[in-house]
Amino acid sequence: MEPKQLFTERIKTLLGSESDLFFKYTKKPLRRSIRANTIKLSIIELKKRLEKRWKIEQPLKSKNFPEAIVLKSKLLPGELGKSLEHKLGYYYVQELSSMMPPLALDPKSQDIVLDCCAAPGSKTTEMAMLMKNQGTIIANDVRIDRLKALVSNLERCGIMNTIVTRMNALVLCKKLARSGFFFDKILVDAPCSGEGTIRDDPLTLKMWNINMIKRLSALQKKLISNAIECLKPQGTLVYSTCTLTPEENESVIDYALKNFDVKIEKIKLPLKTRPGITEWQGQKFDEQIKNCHRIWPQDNDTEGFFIAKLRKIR
Amino acid sequence: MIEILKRNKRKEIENLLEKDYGIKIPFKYHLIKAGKDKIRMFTGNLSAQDLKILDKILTIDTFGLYFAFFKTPEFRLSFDSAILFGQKAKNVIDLNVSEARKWLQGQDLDKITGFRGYFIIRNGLDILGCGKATEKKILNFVPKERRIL
Repeated sequence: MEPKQLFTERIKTLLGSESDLFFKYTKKPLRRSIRANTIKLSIIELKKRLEKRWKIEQPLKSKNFPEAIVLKSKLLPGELGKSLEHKLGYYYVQELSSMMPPLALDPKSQDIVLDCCAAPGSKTTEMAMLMKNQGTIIANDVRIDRLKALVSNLERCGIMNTIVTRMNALVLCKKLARSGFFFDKILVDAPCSGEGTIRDDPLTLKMWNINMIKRLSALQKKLISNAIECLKPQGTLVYSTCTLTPEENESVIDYALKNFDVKIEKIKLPLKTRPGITEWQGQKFDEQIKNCHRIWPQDNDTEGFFIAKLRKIR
Repeated sequence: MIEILKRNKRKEIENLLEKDYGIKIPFKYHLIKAGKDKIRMFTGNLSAQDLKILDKILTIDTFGLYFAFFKTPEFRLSFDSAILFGQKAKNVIDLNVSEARKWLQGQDLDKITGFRGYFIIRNGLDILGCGKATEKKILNFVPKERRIL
């Protein structure tokens, strides 16, 4: 499927002459990757087992994240989801760039964490693993079908520190703040237009339209505002999307910086990232936005992602 | 309304876990009743009071992990809690590769064990849930979505 003209123009504005490379990558099949679930099995044991069947590599091992595993062998459709190791919860099928938001949030085993838009659970299960099944995660999603997948993935991965809620995230945050329930860390992996996922799901290109982006941007601003309200002072919030459009990314962070007592935290991620942009279609953003992270598909041979980490000052 | 099991009930479950499965673990976590006969385990660092407040203000779907089915005298560990805690179990039935394949397809096994009651099922290092032995058979409890076809 060919991208719409406006989409192409916007990518050209963002990337200039490099846009050809971007579009080349969008047509390239996505590498298959999984994340070892150390709650159920050690990485060494999992690796031993997988190597009997597939050629694998750990691209982020030198960067302190050996859990990320890329499958180099050619796989049959659905093969990763049908294996015994998957059924026993030894790994989670997860794209490399999608492993980054939990690493940015860096939850610890004593933290109380809110995952506003949690389904289907890749990042929730990763956070629970990083927290060694301790601390507490409240994992929320509003859609019942997605919630079923979330609960099923949490069970499969042996997650015991999580409370699953089914609510509109805006209402959830309001209720929590009103009841004096505040969080050390919050992940807002916001619903988005999914421009970064077109390698995996080309239908995204068909759905893409500028009105949807405007609608989503307004929703994302509400989401981040309500989430900040239930963050403890000095607490941190990671905002992420799997889209590349500035209205859903830098513009949302700029809105948070202008309306709340928050600042952007500098973070290091184990993938190559580029700084957030500070100007888009005549709108100038806060200079701190350079400390946001853009993951472009052509930089790491992954999907596209946007990640920003905020700290609440008061 | 959330029902967090009290100390005496937790002790009862701790004892059953040791008696039926040979698993000895100190219970420092919340055990929460879910539905009529299911128990969930929550390892989070919230107090019982916090959990009750959350239960009141939020629409909660689940707390923690489905731990066990418990309807006296039946005490059956869930598939995933068997995987998590079964490595420490003493009451284990080992399956060979062909039995394990049938087991993971959801089939009861015709296997003379001479035992009765619930056991952890294992193949090599993999824990494959728990089963109910009836001397000549092992009844299967592998959930549908975890079966291998």
